[in-house]
Amino acid sequence: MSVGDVITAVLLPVGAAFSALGALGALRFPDLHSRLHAATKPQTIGLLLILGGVAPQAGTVSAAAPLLLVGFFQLLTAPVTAQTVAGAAYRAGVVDHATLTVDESRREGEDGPWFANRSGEHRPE
Amino acid sequence: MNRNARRAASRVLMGVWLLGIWLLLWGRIDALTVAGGAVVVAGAYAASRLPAVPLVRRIRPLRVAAVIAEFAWDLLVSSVVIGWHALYRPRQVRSGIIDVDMRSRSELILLGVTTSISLRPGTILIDLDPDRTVLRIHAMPVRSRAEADSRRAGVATTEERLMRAFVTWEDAPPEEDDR
Repeated sequence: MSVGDVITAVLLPVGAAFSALGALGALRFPDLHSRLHAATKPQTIGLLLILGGVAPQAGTVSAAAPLLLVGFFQLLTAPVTAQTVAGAAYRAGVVDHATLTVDESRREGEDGPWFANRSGEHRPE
Repeated sequence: MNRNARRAASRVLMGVWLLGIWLLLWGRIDALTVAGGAVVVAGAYAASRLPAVPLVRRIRPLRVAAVIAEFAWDLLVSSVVIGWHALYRPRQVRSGIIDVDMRSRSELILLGVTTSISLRPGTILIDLDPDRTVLRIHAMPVRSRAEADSRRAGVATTEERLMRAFVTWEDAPPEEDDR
């Protein structure tokens, strides 16, 4: 067994475990935002570890290069999705206050819990 | 470097970057793929009218390495934390909505901070004020006000590291007024 095989043998299961934990969290966490944490994030590290595990098996550098692109685009796109869904849910009022210990948006009071948008109008209730 | 020169440099760098992706996708570098890539990049640029991405004044490579190392470590630690909570009493996990004041006026730093926040488990950006000076984040687990404060401090530290790694035109304007 070569060094590359050892790296693969370690990284692939660990990456798969992180992905599985993410799926479990998405199933078990109490509200939308905490589910979103589980649904979008552990997959990132899971995928990166799996890519790292696959790379030694690719044989040549040029065969492994696209894996780098996959990882890069995952890092580029995952936060956009997470932010968009989380922001939309927040502005739509889908926040379970029972799961919050600290909510600093409430002190704004009558303006509504979200920031006014750029044109100076407030987003509709 | 005046504004036009900066815009031109930004476009050239973006072109080089797109060419790099093209070559990675082909998986080989020879005269034909480079020439073909140059044509495709020029065509894509003309068709899409990509905006000029703001440039940074200076990059400190060691600080960039520190930012990446910090991010990788945070990603690992917070993934383990969220994973643990997924296994142990997931229904009792508590969160917080926290406002963080931004120090930087640079959009690049803002992008770096928000990407970093939203990539690591446990924090998501949910809102941004109109002046882009306050980030509103959803963080978990947050069990107390002290934990909320330490999360806020963590985001501020990330911003500070990014500002040290990337010296931007907005945060450190040049002495001479050539902007």
